[in-house]
Amino acid sequence: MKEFINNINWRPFIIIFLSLLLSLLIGSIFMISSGYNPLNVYLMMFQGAFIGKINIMNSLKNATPLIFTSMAVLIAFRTGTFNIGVEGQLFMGAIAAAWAGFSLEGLPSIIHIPLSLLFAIIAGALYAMIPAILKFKFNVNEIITTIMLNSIAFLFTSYLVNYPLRESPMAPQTPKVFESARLPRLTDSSQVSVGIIIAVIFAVIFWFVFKKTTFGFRTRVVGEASSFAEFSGISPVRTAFYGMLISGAVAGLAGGVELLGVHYRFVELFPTGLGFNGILIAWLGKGTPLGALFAALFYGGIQSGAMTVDWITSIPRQLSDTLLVLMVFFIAAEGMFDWVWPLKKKFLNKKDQKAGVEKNA
Amino acid sequence: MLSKFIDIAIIQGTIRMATPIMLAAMGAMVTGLSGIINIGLEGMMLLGAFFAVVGSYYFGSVWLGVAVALLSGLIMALLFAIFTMKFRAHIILIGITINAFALAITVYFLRDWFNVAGAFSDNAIVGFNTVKIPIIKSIPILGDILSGYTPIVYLSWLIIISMHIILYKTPLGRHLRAVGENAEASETLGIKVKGIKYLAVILSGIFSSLAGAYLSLGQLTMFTENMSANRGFLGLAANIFGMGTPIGGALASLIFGFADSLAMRLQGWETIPSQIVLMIPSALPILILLIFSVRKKKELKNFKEENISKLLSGK
Repeated sequence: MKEFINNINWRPFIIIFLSLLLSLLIGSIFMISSGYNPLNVYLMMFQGAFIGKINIMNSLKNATPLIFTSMAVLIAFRTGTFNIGVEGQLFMGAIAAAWAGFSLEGLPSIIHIPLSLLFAIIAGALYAMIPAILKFKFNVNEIITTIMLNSIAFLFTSYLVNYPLRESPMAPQTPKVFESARLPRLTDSSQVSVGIIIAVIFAVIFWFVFKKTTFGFRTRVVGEASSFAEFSGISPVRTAFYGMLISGAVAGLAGGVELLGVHYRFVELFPTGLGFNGILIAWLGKGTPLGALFAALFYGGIQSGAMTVDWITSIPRQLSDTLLVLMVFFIAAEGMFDWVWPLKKKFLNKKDQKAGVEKNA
Repeated sequence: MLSKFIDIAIIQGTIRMATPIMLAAMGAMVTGLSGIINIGLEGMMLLGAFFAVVGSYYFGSVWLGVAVALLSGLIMALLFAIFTMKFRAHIILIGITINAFALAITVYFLRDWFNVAGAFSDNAIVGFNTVKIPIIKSIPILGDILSGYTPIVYLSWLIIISMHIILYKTPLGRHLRAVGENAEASETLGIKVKGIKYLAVILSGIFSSLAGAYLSLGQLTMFTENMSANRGFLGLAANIFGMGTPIGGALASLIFGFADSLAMRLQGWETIPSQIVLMIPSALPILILLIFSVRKKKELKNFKEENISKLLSGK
C-alpha cells in the first residue's frame, strides 16, 4: 500500500488543488466586491451542485455533453492537432440527429436511437474532414479554418431551422423528434438521460483504448514524439488526419446525445460554448481521459451550483465560466508552481536528518 | 448589377469594417514575426471593447475610455507573455483561455456592474465623432473615401505605416524578424530575445484592445456581448495571407472588410437568406488561405525543380 502511494505521481493533483484554491480566492474577490460573503456563496454553490437529488441530476445533465466534447478534444490533441472546431462539429451532429429523429418514422427505439446517433457521428466527422483535408493536404492552418467553420456551422444550422427544416412560422425550430428517437430519461423530474451513462462508458473505453491497445500506443507516440513515430513506421500525418476525423465524430455524438436526450428539437438558440468548454475541461483533467471525465462531472456541478447562486443572490451565473477559465489558466501554467517541489525535498531531508540523528544517538 | 453594390458607401463601409481587422492583423504580425502564435487577440479585443465603454462611462471622456481599454490590453498581454514564456503554458491553450475569459468576464461584469444582459448602452458613454481631414476632404470622390472617419481609423493607418518603417528601416525591426527566424542564433548575436518577444506580445495586446475600443466607441457607442465576433481571428488570417508584412496584412484586411460590408448590404436583399450572405466573411478567409497555400506549394515545387535541373545540367 505504501509503495502504491509512493508510485503515484502526485504533481498533477497538487497543481490541480493549488489552481482550484487560487481560482476560488480570485472568485471571492469578485463576491466581496459585490457585497457577499464568499464562504456563504461557495457553500450555496456546493449545495446547488451536489446536495439533493434534483441538483445532482442537473449536474449530471450539464456534464454529459462536456464529457464527450472533452474526449473529442483529447483525441485530436493526442494525435497532434488542436481541434477548436468541436463547437461547429457538435452543431452539425445535433442538427443531423434532429433530422433523423423527426423524419424517419415508424422505427423501434432500439433502431431509431442508434441510427440517429450514427447520423450525428457521421455529420460531425464529415465536418471535421474539411479542416483535416485543408490541413494535411494543403497545409492550411487548422486553427483559423476551424474557427471560421464554427461560425459557418452556426449560420448554416440557423438557415436550416429558419427555412427548410422549420416546423411552423411561429418559431425558428425543427419539429420534435419522435418518441422512438428520444434517449430515455433517468428520472421524471430532470432532463438527465441515459446519455450520461453512455458518456461515462465511452470515457472509460477511451481510457482503455489509449492505455492498453496498439492504436492507443500509436496515437501516443505521434502526439508525444512525431519524429520518433516516423522512424518507427507510424505515419504522423495519417494518424493526425484520422485523429481529427474521430474527434469530429465524437463531437457530433455530443451534439446528438444533447439533442436526443435534452432538447428533442433543434432550436435556433442551441447552447453554445459546449465545444470550447470541452477544451478547457480536457485541460482541467490534465489531458487524461479519466481526468477529463472527473473534470466534466465537477464542472457540471459548478454550473448548476452557479445557477443556484444566480437565483438567490445577484451574482451572475457566469461565475462558473469565470472560475473554470481561471482554473485552466493556472493549471496550464505549470511553471507557476515550481517553488512547490523543492519544499517537499526540504521537508523530507529534514526528516531524514532527524532519523539519522536518532539512529546515531 | 455591379454598380448596385459597388458605390462610395460600400467603400467607406469596407474601410470601417476593415479597421479592427487591420489592427488585429498588426498584432498577429508582430507576434508572428517573433515566433509566437497569439490566438488571444480575439479576447483582448473583446476586453478592450468592454473596458473602453467602462472608461468612457465613468470618466466621461472618450480618450480616457481608450486609455482604460489599452490598459486592459496591456495587462492581458503581460499575462499571456508571462504564462507562456515563464510558466511554460501551452501557447494555443492560453490564447483560447484568454478568449474564454474575455467572453465570461464581460458578461459577468455587465450584469454585476450595470445590471444588464446582452448589451450596455447609456447616454453617459461618450463615443468618437467623425473627423474630416482638411484639404483632402474637398477632393472629389477621394475626399469621401479617405476622410470622414473616427480618429482610430486614421490611427490604424499611422500604425501600419510606422510598423512598415520600424520593420524594414530600424535595427529593432531587424531584430524582431531575426528572433522569429532563428531565436538561438539571435541570442548568440546579442539580441535580447526575451525582451523582443515581450515587446511583441505587448504591442499585440495594445493593437487588439485599440481595435476593441474602435468597435465599442468608434463604430457604435455601446458594448454588446461577444462584439469582437471573430475579428481577432480574421486578423490572424489576414496576417497569414499578407505574408507577415504590414502592407500585405492591411490589404488582406481590406478584402475581409469588403466581405463584411457586402454581407451587410446584401442582408437587406430578400432573395438570399441572410444566413447564407453572412457566411461570406467566414468562408472567404478559408478560401483565400487555401488558394494561397496551393500557390505557395506550386512555387516551392517549381523552385525545387529548377534547382534540381540546374544541378543536373551542372551549372
